[in-house]
Amino acid sequence: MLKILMPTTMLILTTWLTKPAWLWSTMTANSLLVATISLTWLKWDSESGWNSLNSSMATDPLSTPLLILTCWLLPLMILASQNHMSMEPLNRQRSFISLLISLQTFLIMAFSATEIIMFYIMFEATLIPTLIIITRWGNQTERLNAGTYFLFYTLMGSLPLLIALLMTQNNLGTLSMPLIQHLHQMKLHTHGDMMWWTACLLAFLVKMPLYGVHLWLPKAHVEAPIAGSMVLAAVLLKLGGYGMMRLIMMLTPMTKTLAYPFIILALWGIIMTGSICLRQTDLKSLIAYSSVGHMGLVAAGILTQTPWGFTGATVLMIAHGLTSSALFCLANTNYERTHSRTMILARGMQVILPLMTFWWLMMNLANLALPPSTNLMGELLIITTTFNWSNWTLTMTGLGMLITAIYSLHMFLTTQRGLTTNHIISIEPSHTREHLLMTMHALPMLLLILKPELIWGWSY
Amino acid sequence: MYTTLIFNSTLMTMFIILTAPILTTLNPMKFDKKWAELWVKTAVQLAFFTSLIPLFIYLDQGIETITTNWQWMNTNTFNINISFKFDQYSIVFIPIALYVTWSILEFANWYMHQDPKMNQFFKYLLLFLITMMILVTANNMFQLFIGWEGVGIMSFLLIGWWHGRTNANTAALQAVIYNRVGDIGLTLSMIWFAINLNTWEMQQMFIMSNNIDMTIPLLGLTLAATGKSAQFGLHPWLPAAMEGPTPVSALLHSSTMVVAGIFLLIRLHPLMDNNKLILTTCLCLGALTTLFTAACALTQNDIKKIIAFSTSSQLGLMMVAIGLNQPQLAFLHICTHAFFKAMLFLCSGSIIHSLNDEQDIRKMGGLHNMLPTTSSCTMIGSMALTGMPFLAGFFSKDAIIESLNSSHLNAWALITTLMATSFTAVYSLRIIYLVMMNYPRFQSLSPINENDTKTHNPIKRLAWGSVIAGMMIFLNILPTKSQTMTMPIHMKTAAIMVTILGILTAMELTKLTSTQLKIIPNINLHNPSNMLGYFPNIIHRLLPQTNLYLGQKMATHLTDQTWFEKIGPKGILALQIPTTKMINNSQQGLIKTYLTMFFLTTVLFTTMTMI
Repeated sequence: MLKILMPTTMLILTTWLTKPAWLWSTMTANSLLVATISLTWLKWDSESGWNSLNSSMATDPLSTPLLILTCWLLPLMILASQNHMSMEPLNRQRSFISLLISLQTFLIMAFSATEIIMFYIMFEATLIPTLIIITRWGNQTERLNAGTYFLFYTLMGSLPLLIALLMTQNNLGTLSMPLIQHLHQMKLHTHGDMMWWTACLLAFLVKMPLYGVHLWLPKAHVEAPIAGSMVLAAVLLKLGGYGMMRLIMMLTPMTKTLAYPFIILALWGIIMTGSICLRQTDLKSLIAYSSVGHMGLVAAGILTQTPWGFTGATVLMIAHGLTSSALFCLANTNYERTHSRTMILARGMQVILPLMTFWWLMMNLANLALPPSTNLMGELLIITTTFNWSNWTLTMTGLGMLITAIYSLHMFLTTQRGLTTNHIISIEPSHTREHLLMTMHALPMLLLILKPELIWGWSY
Repeated sequence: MYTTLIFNSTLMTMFIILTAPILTTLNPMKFDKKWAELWVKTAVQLAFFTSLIPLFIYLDQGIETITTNWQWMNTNTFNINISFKFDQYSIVFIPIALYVTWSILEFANWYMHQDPKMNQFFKYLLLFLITMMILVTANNMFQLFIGWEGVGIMSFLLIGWWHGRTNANTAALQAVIYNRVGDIGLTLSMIWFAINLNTWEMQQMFIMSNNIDMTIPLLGLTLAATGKSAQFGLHPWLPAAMEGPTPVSALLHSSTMVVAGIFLLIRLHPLMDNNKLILTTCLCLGALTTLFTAACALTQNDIKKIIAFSTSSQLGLMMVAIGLNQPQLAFLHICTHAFFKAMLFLCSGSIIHSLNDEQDIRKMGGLHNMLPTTSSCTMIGSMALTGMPFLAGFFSKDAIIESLNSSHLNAWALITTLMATSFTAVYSLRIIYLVMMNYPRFQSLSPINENDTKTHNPIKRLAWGSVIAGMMIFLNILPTKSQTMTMPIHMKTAAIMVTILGILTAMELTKLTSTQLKIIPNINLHNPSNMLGYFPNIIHRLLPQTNLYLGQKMATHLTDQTWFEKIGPKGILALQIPTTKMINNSQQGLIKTYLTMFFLTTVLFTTMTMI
């Protein structure tokens, strides 16, 4: 564990000691090195499922893909922020990078914690750098509002969790993840137990976010700078899914009935957010709402509590992490050129930036779950498991598939196809850096198709 | 043993040959325009000749194989493999598709030579073909799904090729949306198979499904086929898809995409063998489609639209064959249809190009003098389409109608199909009459020229196919279902009789129009046919409008921006503000008052304690 954690924290030092001219390239290279080393986690050889154990951290098939995704995302965020940070004074650039690195450190500790309470602390700790990213580095005044929404939604959800965890510690005597799955099931039937159940999941449902408590997400996504949007979509939302899968094991007997409203809400959310996407004029907001829909599918998969559901959720989390992060990057390339997020102001870009169109196409196809992308594998597994739960869910998941396809292609058609708008007079050509950024998103997506079992979670 | 080895390896070689041109595009260098012909066309041509080897082995020895190459993924006892099924259907279909595509590519080389992105266009066409090959050879549902969605997306890109035009983009999106509705059906059946049969491998599915009621997944498959093969209800995308360049229409309507739905049902036919409900559904759906689209074709004026509707009508006929429990006949019709439909589209492409991009048949005429090869081939294609004896269409179409005649399943379906058959003759005649006969009605300075070898060679090659392919396939395929052997003479000749009847009536009607017996024509019947049964007007306005309206008003404004805000952040804010104000009121910074209060209360308490 420390092999990754130490270099990651040391990156902050590197940031402040590197020569200004080499700042961005050094940081990209170093963080990429850390990401490469993190790939060694994929080698599983332990019988118990837990690997790289030390006294408070470990990896297992569920956390490994998320950990690697976290490590992989840092160089991508640094690459993506390079352009809009270039105008800032040097020290601000350095503090920005340090902020991203500190976020990464917290995330690694959150995903690898073996004690639930440590996971909780790290889960909360990630709020601080994210809040600073949104409210300090966002562009419009609305960023302050977005930051408030982000902070208070998450806190309102997660404070009950703290109490629930303390109670659990009192009752069980432990909060250790490797131990908890071997303990006896608790006998839960009072109303107090139901509240405890809700408190255990609410934090994560808000973080996912579940439809109904999602208002913070589009705001945060839209107002955050590109690195913030990327890490939010790719990793921070996944903290919710990850936490749910960790905790849901000890909630077993109650989940069966109590999960009903949440599954329904999640599935209904797919249709509602899809409909919202159809009417979006704001590119980043569209991608953010599509995230809500996809994460709803993840939530439904987890709440059904079947091996297929868990697998599907894990796969979809990773696949969606890469896809939505890539889509935000693409939206940002448009934003940096036209200085507007409004879709209709950047139409017909295929003629101007043809290679970018390829990336748009690819990422949109991944977003609408074109086979054999891992997005499809995840969705198919989840749709199967919800269908098994109740046949009628297919009406919602099926309609969701349809609407997802429509708004993804609508986004592609509007931004790329058609005639170019008249007001676009000069557009910067796309940089190699941007293509590199997209390649680094696409590469893991493509390679994972060949061996999806790496992100298969517990069922592998 | 060696034959099997050769059999499998040649087929694999074919796949490698087809993907080779795609791999060359990884080279960052810019290719000149020769790349399209040099790589793509040659690859398809080469693949065609390679695929003849397994075809001959199959014809000689009847080898059919299933090759499992790689276990892709597994979840708790559920395996997904890469496995190929080289059976009668795929072995026969592959060479045909390659032959047709080879001709289309050669034609496209001429048709698209002015397009600055011709290489990319060829790459798309090739990818389109490859995804279809994946679909045809797939032995498990997942692999089939890859091909299935692949053709969908490639058709999206190709239909929207001229993306500067709004119509092209709309048509492309429309195709995807209709197909996606069908995909819900395919997903449903895949899920059902996974849950109840625990496998997606086809041979295992067939064995496991013996004693299970398969109605639900079969309905899903029917829905999937309805979307992909443009059956009634989900048909409007097919005529709209002619917004793409003509080679795309030719490929899309002949050997890829639209036949995929029918092919799915043929492939999974063992599942529906005994399910009467599904068979009847298919029969009626097919009959309805074939009549409705044939009726629409009657009054269209766009040459490509007429041919597109005729494809839809033929697809309905294939569906009828599926409903009759005769998948092989449906397959036969796919094969023969590929030749003449591709040729008809190439001919229309040649005509359109020659008349300076004019597609309206009312503005053509007399072309048999100026475009003799194209005209003769259109003639051959139209006759093959109407089922002229011993041309390609005859063998499949006649067989389907014969077995429909001699079955006692559904008289309504029989009559509907026969009516559609006579309509086929009518709209074919209409094309021939308005495009080739009489006097020219186009502008006199049209760049008419069909002397390029790239134009007439592919058309001629397909013409040969349209003449002999039917017989060749018919003589070489061993039917597995019982065929109609004997029947009374009026049943045997029913198809040809209604066709002739259709032609005679149509001739009479044309005479009526040219002599103008009625000054004001009665167009009550003409309107619904010309407006496609008012289907697009109703469905394409009502549904999206409602959906978008709800998306805006319900989902965005009412729920997201009003209720969720009110219940959540804004509501809490509104609750907090009065209390904040109240507390604020009592804290006005009047330090003297506070101190006095403090002093008084302290004195009060001390005195109380002292007493």
